[in-house]
Amino acid sequence: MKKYLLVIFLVLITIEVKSQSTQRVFSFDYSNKTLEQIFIDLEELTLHKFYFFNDWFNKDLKSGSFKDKTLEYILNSLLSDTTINFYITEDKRVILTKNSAIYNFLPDSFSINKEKPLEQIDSTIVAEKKEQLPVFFDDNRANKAASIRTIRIGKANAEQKREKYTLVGTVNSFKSQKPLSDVTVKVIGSSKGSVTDKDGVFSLELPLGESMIEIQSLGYEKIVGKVFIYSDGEASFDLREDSQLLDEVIVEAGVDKNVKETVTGLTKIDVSEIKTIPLVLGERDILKVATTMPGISKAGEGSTGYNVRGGKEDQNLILLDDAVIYNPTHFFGLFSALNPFTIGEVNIYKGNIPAEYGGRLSSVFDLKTKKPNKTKFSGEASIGPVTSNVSLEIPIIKEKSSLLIGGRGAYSNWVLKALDDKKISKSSASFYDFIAKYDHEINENNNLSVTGYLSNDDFSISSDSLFSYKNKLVSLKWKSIINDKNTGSLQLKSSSYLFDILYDGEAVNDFKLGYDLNETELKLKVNYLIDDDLELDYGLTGKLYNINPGNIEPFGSKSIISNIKLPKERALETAAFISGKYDVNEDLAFNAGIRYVNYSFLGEISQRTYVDGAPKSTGTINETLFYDKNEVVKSYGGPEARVSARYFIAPSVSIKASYNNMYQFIHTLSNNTTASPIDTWKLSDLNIKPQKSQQYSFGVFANFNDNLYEVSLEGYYKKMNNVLDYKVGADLLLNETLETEVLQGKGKAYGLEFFLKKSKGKLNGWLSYTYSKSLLKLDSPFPEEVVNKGEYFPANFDKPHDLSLISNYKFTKRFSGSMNFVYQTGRPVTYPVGSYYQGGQEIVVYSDRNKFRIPDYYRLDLSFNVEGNHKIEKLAHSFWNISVYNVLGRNNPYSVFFVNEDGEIKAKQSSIFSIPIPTITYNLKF
Amino acid sequence: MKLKKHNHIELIALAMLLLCFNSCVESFEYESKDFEKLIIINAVITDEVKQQEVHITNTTPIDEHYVSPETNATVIVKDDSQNQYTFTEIEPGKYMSQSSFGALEGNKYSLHVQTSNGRKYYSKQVSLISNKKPVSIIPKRIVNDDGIIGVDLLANSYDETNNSKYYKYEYEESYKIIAPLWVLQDLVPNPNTPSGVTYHLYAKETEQETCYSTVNSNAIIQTNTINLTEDRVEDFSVRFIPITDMMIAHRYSILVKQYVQSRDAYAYYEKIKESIEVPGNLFSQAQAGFVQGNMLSETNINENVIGFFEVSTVVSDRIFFNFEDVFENDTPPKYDCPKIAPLIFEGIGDYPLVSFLTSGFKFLSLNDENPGDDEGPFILVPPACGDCTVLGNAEVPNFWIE
Repeated sequence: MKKYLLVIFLVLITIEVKSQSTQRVFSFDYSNKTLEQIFIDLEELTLHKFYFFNDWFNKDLKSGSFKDKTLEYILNSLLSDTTINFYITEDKRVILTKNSAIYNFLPDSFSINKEKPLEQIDSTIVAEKKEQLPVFFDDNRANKAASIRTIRIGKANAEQKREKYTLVGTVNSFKSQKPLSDVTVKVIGSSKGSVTDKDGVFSLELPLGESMIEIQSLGYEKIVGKVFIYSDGEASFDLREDSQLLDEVIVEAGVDKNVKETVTGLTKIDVSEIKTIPLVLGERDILKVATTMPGISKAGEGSTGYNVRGGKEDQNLILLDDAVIYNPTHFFGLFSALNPFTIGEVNIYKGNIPAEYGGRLSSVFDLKTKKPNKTKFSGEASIGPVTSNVSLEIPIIKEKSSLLIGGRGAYSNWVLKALDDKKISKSSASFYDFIAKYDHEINENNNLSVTGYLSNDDFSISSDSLFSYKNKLVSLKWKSIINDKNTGSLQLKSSSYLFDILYDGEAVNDFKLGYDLNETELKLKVNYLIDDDLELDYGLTGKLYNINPGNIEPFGSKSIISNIKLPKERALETAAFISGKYDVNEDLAFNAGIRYVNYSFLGEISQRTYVDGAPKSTGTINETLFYDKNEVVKSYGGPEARVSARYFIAPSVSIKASYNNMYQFIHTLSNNTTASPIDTWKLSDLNIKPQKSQQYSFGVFANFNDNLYEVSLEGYYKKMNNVLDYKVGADLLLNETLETEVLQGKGKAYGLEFFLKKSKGKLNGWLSYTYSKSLLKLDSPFPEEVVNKGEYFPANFDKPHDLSLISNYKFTKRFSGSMNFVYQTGRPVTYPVGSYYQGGQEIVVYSDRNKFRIPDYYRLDLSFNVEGNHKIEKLAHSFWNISVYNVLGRNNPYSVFFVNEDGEIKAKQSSIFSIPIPTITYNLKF
Repeated sequence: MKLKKHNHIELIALAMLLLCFNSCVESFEYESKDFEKLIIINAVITDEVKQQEVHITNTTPIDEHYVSPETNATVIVKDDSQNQYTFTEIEPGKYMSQSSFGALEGNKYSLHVQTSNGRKYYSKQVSLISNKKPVSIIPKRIVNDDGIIGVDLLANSYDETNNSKYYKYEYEESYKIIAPLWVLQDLVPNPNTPSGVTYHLYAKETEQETCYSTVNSNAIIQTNTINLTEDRVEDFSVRFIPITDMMIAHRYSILVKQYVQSRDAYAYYEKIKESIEVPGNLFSQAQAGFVQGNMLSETNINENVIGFFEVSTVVSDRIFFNFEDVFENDTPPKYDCPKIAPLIFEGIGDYPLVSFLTSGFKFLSLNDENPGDDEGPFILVPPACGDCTVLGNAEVPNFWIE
């Protein structure tokens, strides 16, 4: 008789298999085959699919035969002398698992009943053996694949006095044999439990005798163990990685981000979510979706820019992979110039703008392209009535580098030409855009990516003029993990915007007019994670602007237009920034930053000073000053604060507040009521001061029903200074003394934004409503510089009520219907207040600017979406979208104007889409 | 098959889009809101020695079309050599200098107006620009952008001193009208005859075959040479007349006046012009607003005053041409002259022939070649076909040269 004071028994329990397939019997012979080969044969014979790793098996050759045996039997016998276990699923798969911790023997001495006298134990061994080996365990609490182990510690004896003993256990990963931390160990049927430390060790007090414990960790199979404890002891457990048989795991990261984030006024667009939204002419448009969010709007369908929280179109910093896009639209703003297949992430900051960004008063549109797939070639394509679009993700070096390319082109031009209508064939429009991104994982800590982008538009309205504009950008980003705490990135980016106007009427005044702008920026940013509660971002940035404000040259041999080239404008904008995120406690968090910006307008250039006490005009020039190359003409700048705070007033309700101030040194010049692609950008110089703003915002954010609904209410108040406006009828192109046409005034904007979103379920979508005002004030001691008697008046894009409802209903997995409804107050217009005759011609007199409004805008769009079937083996995944834009056929006026027809004044209104526009688009994903 | 379907849909969608781009501009009834009565003071004092004119009117509500003159105002033009020229009202809103004078180079002029209710207005000081350079007008047959054949009247001028730069044009066009179916006699009904109506043929007493008409330009026509290497107006189209216009069917004359403007005056009229023109394209509408000229109110600085006081040199050129001088191989336009032969009597109280004659139809000839049952005895033609005075004046203008 041997005495074991402490023995650990690890008994593998085979798994219950009830599936019917195992009832079928098979007969087969094998000779001189490795296990691997045998399994391959078995796959064919039994029509089961086997899952295993080749290197689990040795190359020993086996021979043998089975007759009328179940698969289970066959496997049992084949694997009897290995450490491999198997599991047969109902859908005819055989999963083999390797388990090194199998003990097929029983100890010489053990007891299941402490009451039993020691002498009797031997006689019970056989009985127990039968009972225990193998143990079929049928327990609903346990996973199908859960392993049950029986552990015996110590032995029972009559003198046992203690009621409790301590089990010290170690939990390792089965695969790597490394200790697992944070694994929960629970005593079933009691509230006791423990968690492993970083060495994978836990300790648990158990009552004398039998207990059930459950060891569980996310991503690992659960172990249920039966412990018989009769003394303090140790045990070790190996957790296996979860097999594929689990249900699909839906990880809902960031569902409560809107409540938790410290930043106010942040709009995120889920690019994958927008594909069901009804389209106009088949173009999926990320920025159009943005305008359905609170606080973001457009002056009208044909306007080029966006208005964010009462800001002008030029006050948005639109970044594509961190490089600025000056005009993100095609075709007068009807379509966005961003290829929707290549964009991965859209964040729009309209309240508290992070300190790393600057230079525009109203917002930052941070658009990031997708990270191209490094393992699998894939792509997406669409065919619509206006454009075709293709994007491809191409792995270059597997797991290391890949390329994303996207191209889109409109084929409207040839159709336009083909149409047999003189009026139409005279006008033309075509556009394309192209994007490429290369992403390279240099090593674990370093990543390099390069993005290139080009967009081009050509259009003409009469037969003798041709307009074209282009965006070009290149962005280079090197990201490096310096150490555990510090991550740095270095960016070099360059953007250009240019346009040309060609006038070819076969006359002496034929010309070609050009404008181009380039900015190049170098930016260094470091993220320093001090601890879980405190994080710092800091860096430096420098940006150089180069602008050719306009040149005109003769076109054709007949032309006597003289060559005029306005002098190049240059400026340097540098900034240093630091911002910190600090979680004071679970409820209160701050995000505070400061950015110090300096702007210098540089020579070589001449600038004019004007007589004091007189309006700026060519007649009041005091002197003209000349500056040498790189000489600083004028510097502007100062500190910019970016502060925000969040406080949880209830578990899923937070309040946030923020303040920030901004500078802007580059402005668009437009004497139209809406922005257009041939608006020029002008740098602040000796006479044109930078625009400034201050914004205060406050918001309440809440999620309810398990984050199913997201709701927020935000308010803001914004003050602006030196906002640019122009004298009526100002000549802005090729004007060297632009300051004589420019007015700079004050602006203020305030609003309340409501947002409700349901992101899941059969019916999903969002409702946004904004009440806002945006006002301007242009006052001066000189009557010709005063607009509306120096009082505040509504800006051209002021639309107090703005409501959008975006909804989608899934009928089945494949069919869904979507509806958009948009309502907006009509934008302000200037109406005439009288007329008179000038030399026999009737002339209208306009008075106060923007005193009236065009009729309210509303529109309903519907779409129906059909997904291709979801078979995994299918080569490509298709998607049909049938949309009807403006279902109600509402003739929404875009502008109202007055013209002289046959000597008499007539009121006219124009609209862009006055009838329902149906479109079908076909998308393909492969 | 599928591809074809795409194309089809695409065409429809595009066609609709284009339809919209081209025709979604429509008129609507506009109700005049917030009418503000504003004063308009306009004057161009030229270098010609003559009685100069000043026009003062008021705005009217936009849906009403009449001229509202400002009467009984005191109008004075002053120069910086202490000369004053007083103006008197010769017709409502039109004031003429009591003495003749012409603007001189080097002098600065200003306009001063006081209305009958005591409001005072003044202009900024303006002066005459540059030396006078002649203008010549050339008629040229062209096919314009819209594919219409016509005659372009082109102005040409050259200032080698490079001083003029901004030009404004006004024209006065005159043309000969010939009644195509003119005959010697008039048919005159006498309804007072006892036995019904009798008709007499009399020889015409007035000239009705050849007339003349004169029309003034009513548009703002301007050009500039600022972007050109030399101050040369070359083939600037002052007026385009389509070939179908009866104006040029026979002989036509145009007197073009070329004014040299200041930059400010040019800009002012340019803005006025833009404010009533169709915007360049559907997508961008020019910012409308009050256009400030150089007239200001002395009594209330917040009052919007319309108008511009200019001094300008003026040159002119008159040309004449016949249709065939310009259009060698084209056929001249013709009046549509349908011939009718109304019945004398068609029922009680219904005398078609009398009705036609009293509405101006002209006698052409007797209907003697087998008249039909519903035809009367005389052939008549529409008024303008037999009498040119319907369209013009029979008097030959004194400048007219055949």
